[in-house]
Amino acid sequence: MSEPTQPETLDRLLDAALSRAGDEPVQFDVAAGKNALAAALKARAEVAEPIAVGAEHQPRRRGRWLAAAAAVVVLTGGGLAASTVDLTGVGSNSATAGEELTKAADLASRVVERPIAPGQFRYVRSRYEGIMVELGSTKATYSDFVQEQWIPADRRDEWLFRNKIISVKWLEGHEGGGKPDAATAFKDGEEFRGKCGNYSYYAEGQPDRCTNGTFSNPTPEFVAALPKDPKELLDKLRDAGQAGDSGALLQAGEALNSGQYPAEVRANIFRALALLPGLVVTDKKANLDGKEGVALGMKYYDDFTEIIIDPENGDYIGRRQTVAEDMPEDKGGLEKGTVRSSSAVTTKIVDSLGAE
Amino acid sequence: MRTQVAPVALTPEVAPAVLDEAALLELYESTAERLHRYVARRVGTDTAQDVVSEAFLVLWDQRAGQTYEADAIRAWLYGVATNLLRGHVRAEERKLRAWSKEYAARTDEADIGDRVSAAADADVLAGPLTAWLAELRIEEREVLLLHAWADFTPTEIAVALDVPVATVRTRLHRGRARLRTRLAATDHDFTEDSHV
Repeated sequence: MSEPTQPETLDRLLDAALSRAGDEPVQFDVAAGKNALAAALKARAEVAEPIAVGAEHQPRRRGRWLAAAAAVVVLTGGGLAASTVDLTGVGSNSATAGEELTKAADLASRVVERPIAPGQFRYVRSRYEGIMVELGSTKATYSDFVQEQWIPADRRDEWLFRNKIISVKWLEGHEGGGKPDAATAFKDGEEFRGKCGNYSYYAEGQPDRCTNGTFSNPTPEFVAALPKDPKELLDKLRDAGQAGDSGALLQAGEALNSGQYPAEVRANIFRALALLPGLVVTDKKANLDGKEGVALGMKYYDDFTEIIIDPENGDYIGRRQTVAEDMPEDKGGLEKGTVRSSSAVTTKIVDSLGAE
Repeated sequence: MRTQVAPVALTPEVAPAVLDEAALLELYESTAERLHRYVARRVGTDTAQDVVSEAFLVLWDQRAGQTYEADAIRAWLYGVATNLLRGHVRAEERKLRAWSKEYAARTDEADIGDRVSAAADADVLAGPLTAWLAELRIEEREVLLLHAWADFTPTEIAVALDVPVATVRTRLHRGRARLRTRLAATDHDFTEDSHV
């Protein structure tokens, strides 16, 4: 290559080459496939008949379903102005970020939590607000919704998930035509229930929430196996995030956002993050869903990815993504400091499924 | 939350219908060809036929006699197909590399070097790109290809695969970053400022 190629050119080339890659005419006989499917159904029915006699002993496998594609949109008049953060001077206060986290860890580790008793539920409420940009244009929408989850003390029992859309608007100065789309695939008021959190929208073959321990789905076994040493924990976060230090921060955000970690593990996650050399205080007064805290962030592609903690008590408030540099018009044209998305989390122990 | 592609247009809400045999066959007629095209692009036509059939049978086993929404089927079927494709990773990688070699031979014959345009750049790069796709982690490849070849938004991918949207974006960013790095390292002279 004679001269360096512009990143935008590379992006366009990548998209164009991707659309051509592997693309060749494919023969597909719909009628033949349909006949084969009809024959397979018939064969299954014949095999299934004798089993049906003892149907009560052959419980039907629970359905897995996605009832999510047609998003319900709450229309409101006019556009909404984006929230912005002053990012001037960000980038040189890594030591402060580490201190904030260490303080928060000390406070968090002193918290005495009421243990969840058999038959009770952990109620996790996440308030999401965010901007969705349409690539290649300046059109952008703003969505505001709440997702609630009730997790039983015994994860093998029934879980409940509920989605509430509060509003969907065009972002001021970024309006498009027609109705804006919500940034959630779930409808307003939609609910899912399932043992092991195995909701009906799960695709077949997806591991459920009893067996699939990850930072965002911490099974008791997963939590018990986490390293106590902050450096080792940070290595595990890096491994899971697959994107170096910023990947580790994203994983930590997913872990904390799950609302399912005991206080001492949250404290350890803070201590692990305090070891990240590039973590900086991006906002001393970040407000998420009415709670104010300190935002600690790291550059991740075009954004600062941030977690927000309450310096007074070490509570985790939520996470946020803030645009780190002015974006070009073909990427939505959002200004530096615009809050792209935020998610505030609160948790509570409740006595019944659906109780708040 | 953002998306890298235009959001899918809203569709009017449809009253839930019961999934009986006629409804399943109707769904097959309207959905199978597109799903097959996506799967065939990843693993070749022979395996694609099996994967598509299996995805529909899984749908039948799970939901026969129950209500469903036609609009929701697409993401569900692609989610199932993606899970089924994980059992064919080696076949997929072989297919991608074979396509890359075959395409390289074809572009030599066409003497694309004389065609100075961004479209020619993309044509030339489609071959090696296919081989680079085979080198990606499976998690990155499936997110990237659901996005590029099936036109799924990150939000739809998150639902289909049941992973957080942030994870989808991470995988998408990482996959694209790896491919961009490989693109930038080629010795091809790209046509600047050309919209492809």
